[in-house]
Amino acid sequence: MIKPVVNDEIRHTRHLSPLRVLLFRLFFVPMVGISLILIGMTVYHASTLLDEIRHEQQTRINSLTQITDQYIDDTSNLIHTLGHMFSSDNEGVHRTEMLKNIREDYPRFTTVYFLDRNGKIVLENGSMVNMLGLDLSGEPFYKAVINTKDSYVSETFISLETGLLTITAATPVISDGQMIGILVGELDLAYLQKVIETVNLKPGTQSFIVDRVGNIIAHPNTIWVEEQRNLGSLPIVRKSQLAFTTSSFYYDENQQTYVIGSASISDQGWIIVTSQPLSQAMGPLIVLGGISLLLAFLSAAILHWVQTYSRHIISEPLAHLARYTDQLAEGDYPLEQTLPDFQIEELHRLGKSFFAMAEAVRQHTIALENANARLQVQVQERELAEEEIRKLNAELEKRVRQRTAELEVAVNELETSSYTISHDLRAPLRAIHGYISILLEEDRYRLSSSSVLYLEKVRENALTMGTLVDSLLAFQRLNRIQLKKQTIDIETLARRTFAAMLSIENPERNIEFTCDALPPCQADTDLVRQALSALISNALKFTHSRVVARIHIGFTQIDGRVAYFIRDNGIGFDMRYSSKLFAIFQHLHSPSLRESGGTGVGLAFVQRIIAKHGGDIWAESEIDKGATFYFTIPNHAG
Amino acid sequence: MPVAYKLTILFVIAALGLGGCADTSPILVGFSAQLTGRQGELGVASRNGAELAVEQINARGGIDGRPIQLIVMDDQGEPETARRVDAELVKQGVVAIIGHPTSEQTSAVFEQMNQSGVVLLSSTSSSSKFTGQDDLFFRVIPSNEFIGKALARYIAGQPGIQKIVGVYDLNNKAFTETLWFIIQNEFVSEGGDARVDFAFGSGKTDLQTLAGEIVAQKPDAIVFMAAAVDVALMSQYVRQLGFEGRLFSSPWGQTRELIEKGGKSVNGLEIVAVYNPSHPSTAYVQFTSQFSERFGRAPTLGASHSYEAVKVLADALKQTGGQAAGLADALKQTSNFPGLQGNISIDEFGDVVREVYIVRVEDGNFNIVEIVSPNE
Repeated sequence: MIKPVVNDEIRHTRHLSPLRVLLFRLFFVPMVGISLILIGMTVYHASTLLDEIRHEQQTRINSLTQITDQYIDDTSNLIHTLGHMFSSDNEGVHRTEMLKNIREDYPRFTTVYFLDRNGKIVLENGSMVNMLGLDLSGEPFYKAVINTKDSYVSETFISLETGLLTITAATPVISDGQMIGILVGELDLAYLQKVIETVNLKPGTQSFIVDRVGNIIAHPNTIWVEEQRNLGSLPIVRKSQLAFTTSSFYYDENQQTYVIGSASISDQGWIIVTSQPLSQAMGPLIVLGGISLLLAFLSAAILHWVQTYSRHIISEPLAHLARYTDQLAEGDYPLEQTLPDFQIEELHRLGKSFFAMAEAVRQHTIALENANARLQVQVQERELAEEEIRKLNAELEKRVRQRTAELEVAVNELETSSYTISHDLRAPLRAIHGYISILLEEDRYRLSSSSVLYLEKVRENALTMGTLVDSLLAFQRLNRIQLKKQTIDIETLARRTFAAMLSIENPERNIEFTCDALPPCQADTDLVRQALSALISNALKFTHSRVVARIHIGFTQIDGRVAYFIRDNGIGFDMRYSSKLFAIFQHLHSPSLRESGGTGVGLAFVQRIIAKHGGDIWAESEIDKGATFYFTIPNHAG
Repeated sequence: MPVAYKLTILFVIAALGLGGCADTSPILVGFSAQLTGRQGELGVASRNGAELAVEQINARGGIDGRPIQLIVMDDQGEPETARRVDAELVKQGVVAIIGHPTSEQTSAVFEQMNQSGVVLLSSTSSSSKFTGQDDLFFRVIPSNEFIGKALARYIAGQPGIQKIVGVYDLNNKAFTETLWFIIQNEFVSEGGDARVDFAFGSGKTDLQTLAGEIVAQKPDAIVFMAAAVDVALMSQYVRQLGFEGRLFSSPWGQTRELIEKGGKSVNGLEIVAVYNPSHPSTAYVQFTSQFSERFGRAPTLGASHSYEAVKVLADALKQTGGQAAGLADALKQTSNFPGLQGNISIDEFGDVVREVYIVRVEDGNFNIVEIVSPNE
């Protein structure tokens, strides 16, 4: 059964993002981009707009400065000219008329009067109270003109005559080099205000003038002028008292911000201030900023909607489908009726495909289960057949054993009868030999020479046959005897055997015999001696033709086993016939050699002894290069 | 929810509601005085003094971190306007009103202010109408009782003065009339003649005609209880008519205008003053230079007294934590507050106890000729 995949596991294995996050990124990036562009535009616009505002303000201040300077110059020139006119006329009636004309021609003056040298009002026009005879020698303008003998424009003060705040322009009247009095005009500050208002081009802008100590001289709010408001504490005014022009922002008591610029009028020390509410100046920017903010809001709202909607139409149905898949993995087949309500065509098709796939999986599973059942039946059948085979095998083995036993009995009988035959053949052979010997000894002289030769041949063959039978008997006997195993000093045994063999050998032969120190072994002493005897005899026999016969007995390690060997320098044999070497009655050599002794049983006999001990025997040789016979005798019982 | 999504929402919220911090909202203080018209001089000077005090207090961190905001109103010298602007100030939530410099205007709003529960602190209203009352009215100028007696005794002490004539402005009769009665009584009790007086309306009465009537009484001295501009004009007129006797004035006349408009006529005029323009105290000298630097003119009575009034009020506000509640009690505790010209102590009735001066105009200056201490 497949384990269903759990969401958490998926998340832990890799950084996977939910679909709605991907969708969010898809929308978020362009929206942030648009918002950033709008903000950038707003900032750019703000910087250029500020420059524009400053420029516009600078232009306005320049105009205001010019127009106010003009006003002051005009006033000074006017009062100066009037002063000249006064001096040229000595008759009081004319002067009264002149004052009246001045008032009518120049609306900037509210009152004009003429002081004598002592400061007493001699002539006047425009005042509401009777001013004639008043002593104005305490007024600053009087003192200034008397001291400087020049025109003077005063600071603000309340007019004694009108009760309004005013500024006076005073000029000395000089006749024949003598100062005969002072001509004074009180200025209408409302008129000054009208003058500067001609420059207020943009709605919302306000321009006003304060004097060198900050008192308002002209202001759109005439009450402030009347109340003698002092704006000396405004930073803009303080700066303007030092610098020529300034431009800055000012925050008023109502937290409203103004773009404010100012300039000082050098001669008079007046300061012109022009202001505009920042909100108005920045109007276009505020609209742009508003649009940016609105778009940012809209972006956020759309983003939120995309989130919600995508969750509703994509994420949730997909999660639903994922749960079905998990169910499917658990082997629980969902029903198509429970298919979620997909609103997207692709997803709907995916859902359909999923259920089609689920159905296909179900069909395949059923088919697989059927095939399985069939396979199981087949397996059972095969198991039954195998059982049958096992039974038959057992039967067969039983029969083999029986046959083997029967065969062994037969072999035994054969061996026994063979032994018996061999044994029984000895007596007649011996009789034949005996009788021929007697005949040859006693009747030799009566027999022809050829008869004697024939008889000798018969006796010789009988003797050979007897030896053959003895060998055969000995070979047969080997099957019957029980091994009497003991530890044998095989080296000593070899040396003694060789010594015994040498005693019956031709003493004239030059034989060189060497024997290594050989490891002992567990074996039947008598049989091993016979084997060694046969092998040494073999070696002596095939070295007969050698001037010096060399026979060496040693051992070597082959595959961890001790292999004893007997090596000679005899005539050797062809390895092609090595397979026949240990077969009974087999001769590899010429009959001449065979005649020198050998029944064809020797090596077969040795092989049987070694086999009886559980060992192996083999030979290596090359024609005319001697031969080496190896044999092993395992130490364990065998 | 993705982090970026959260950040967007946070950004929007932050954009919506920036701000919100500790209470640094200004403490509203009203100021009412006549600022316009021929008698506006005292009011303007008072306002300038008050503004200077407020600017200095705010520059030092205000009251517990809250600045004082002075709301200035012009009472136009009309009782009706005074009541209207004060009601307006109360409506705006001021903790106190500095004003009115003239007693008549103070008198006009006296009842109304007592009922409103807002403290009225006057710089220069000295009328004895308000003396000895446990109310919400406070002042930093001594009452007429003390001023009037001081002047009457001084005049009585001058050689050759037997008959004095009183001239007083009905526009501020709450001050002028009561002061004249005190002077009259005191002067008579000293053995003088003070039976004749002339009441006039500033801006309405023809002062030249009035001057003729005054001179016709042939007094040894004339006592003016009027605004400086009127004192200046009447002094000119009586001198034009050949009057050679001594001229005296109430503290109201002690302004720059008296000298500027009075010309040579006011030379020798003597004023019972609550203000010494050349007081040697360090506080006053410093104030004079600060005021001159700020407004380009030397301070006068109104400026100095309203400056003091704001300082006294600020001291009391510090005790109430900037609140209107308890302000009257805090003001009554004012004792030996360092004023510009000596210490200020306020009694349980809200009246101040401090010295007065006799000042003479000489060559465009106010010179002290006598100091009258309150203990005498």
